[in-house]
Amino acid sequence: MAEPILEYSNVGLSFDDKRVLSGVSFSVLPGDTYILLGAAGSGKTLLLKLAISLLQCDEGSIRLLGRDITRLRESEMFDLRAEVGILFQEGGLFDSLTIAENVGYPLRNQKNSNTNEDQIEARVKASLDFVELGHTLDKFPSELSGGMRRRVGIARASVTNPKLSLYDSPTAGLDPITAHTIMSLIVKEREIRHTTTVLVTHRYQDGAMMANYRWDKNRNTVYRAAPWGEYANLRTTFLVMNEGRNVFRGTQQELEACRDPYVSQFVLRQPAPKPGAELYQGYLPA
Amino acid sequence: MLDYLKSPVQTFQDFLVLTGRSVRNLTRPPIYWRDVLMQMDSIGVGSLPIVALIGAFSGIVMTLQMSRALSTYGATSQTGQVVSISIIRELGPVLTALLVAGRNASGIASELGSMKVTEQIDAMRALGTDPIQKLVVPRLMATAFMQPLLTAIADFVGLIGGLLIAVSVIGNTANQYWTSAIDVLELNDMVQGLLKPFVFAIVISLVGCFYGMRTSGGTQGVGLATTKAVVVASVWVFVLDVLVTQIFVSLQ
Repeated sequence: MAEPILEYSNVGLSFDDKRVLSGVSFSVLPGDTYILLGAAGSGKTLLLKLAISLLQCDEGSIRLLGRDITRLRESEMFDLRAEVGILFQEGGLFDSLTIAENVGYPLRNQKNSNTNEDQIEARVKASLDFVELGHTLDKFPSELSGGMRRRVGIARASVTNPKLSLYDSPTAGLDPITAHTIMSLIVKEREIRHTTTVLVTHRYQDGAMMANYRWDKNRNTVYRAAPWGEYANLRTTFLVMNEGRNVFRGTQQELEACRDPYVSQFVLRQPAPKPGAELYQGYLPA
Repeated sequence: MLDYLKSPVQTFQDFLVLTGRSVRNLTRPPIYWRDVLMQMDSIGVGSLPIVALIGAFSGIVMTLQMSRALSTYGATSQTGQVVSISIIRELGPVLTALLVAGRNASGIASELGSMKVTEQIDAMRALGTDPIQKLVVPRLMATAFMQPLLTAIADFVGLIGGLLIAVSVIGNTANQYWTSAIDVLELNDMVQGLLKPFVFAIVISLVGCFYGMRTSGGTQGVGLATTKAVVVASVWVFVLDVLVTQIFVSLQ
């Protein structure tokens, strides 16, 4: 069995006297997709921050790419972080830098990155084209809409070809259409670059999309990998967090079948689309 | 009682940790020279007009105030001496430091604070840069380098302001004023006058960065961090002024 890319063992964390995480254990294998669902304040974002040691846990241990990072010093973390792409909730773009500089930031500033300026420009352009924002190179983040900023965040997180991609509520506060665009890009990223994905969200649809949709390179759109009413289960595991505890782990079927009053609140059964809508996101037999 | 003391002691300890890490990073590559230059421009060149203006007015006011006292003893010819000593030793460094604290400690705290609450500092760490190296060190270096220069300019402009009043109101000749102003200065005064701004600069920039980096609680937190940075930096300027002055007085 392959070694896990990211592994939490019995992780606990307290702020002052308040326990915000306790006894969280799970491991993410290469190619896996993990969906972390939970109410606000349930500790989802903390788990992401712990994964790249932006915070350090009080109990348990975390292994990232085969190394125990629990007590690793900040200076030792930089090489490992270079292998991970992260999208922050609000994008986390640097206001004072242009879009091109933002996306090129990890290439220019990571210590072991020895890319020259021409390569950087080409990769920045490619990464922005990937999220269909190639025309915004010289703009500043404040000139873009919320959805566009998230897309730039995705471009920045993926410009280094990371082995693991972490997304913190990529669709929070966006309208359904923009949210769909963002999720399509995340599906595309997973499909084309074969990245392992951990996605924090409070929207069940995001998880359902990761579990059932794939990217069609020819039509440049997402398609459902199983007929309506069936589950494609694209190596996607759902995790539900409640007040710092992991209260559910399983596949989409198991989640939908779960009768726990807290967990079942996150499940939303989507009706099949009206005839004709398949053109947009319909089922394509492989 | 102990509970009341716990929080300020903890804060001071955190401040010392930041100071330690910043000083250690000064010698470590990479130094982001582009950021250092940009900060020099914003802290040094940006503060120049206001520092010069305040310098000139303090020279003018000092001379006007002194003229009455000195004329009581018939010693108006010594105006240059009094003005030069008080400006070079005390007023130049302290007033410049207060202006820089008001202008730049607040600027630094609000900039870093906004970056903190919008997760830009986390993003920086996640993307492989140390925020101390990228944000704190350039601001520290730029302030430490520019503050003595700003003070020197404020001193000079202050002496010119004094000259205007000494000639036009008190009736000294320009030569008389300059000679008494320059002759009275000793090495001790010059070192004191340039060492003070250097010490102030370190504290002002670090206090600004410290309160910026530990901002929490959204935009309201940014406002709070800014206010704290200015107040704490200004208080430290006065406390350190007393200490440095005492050291130099006892050296004489």
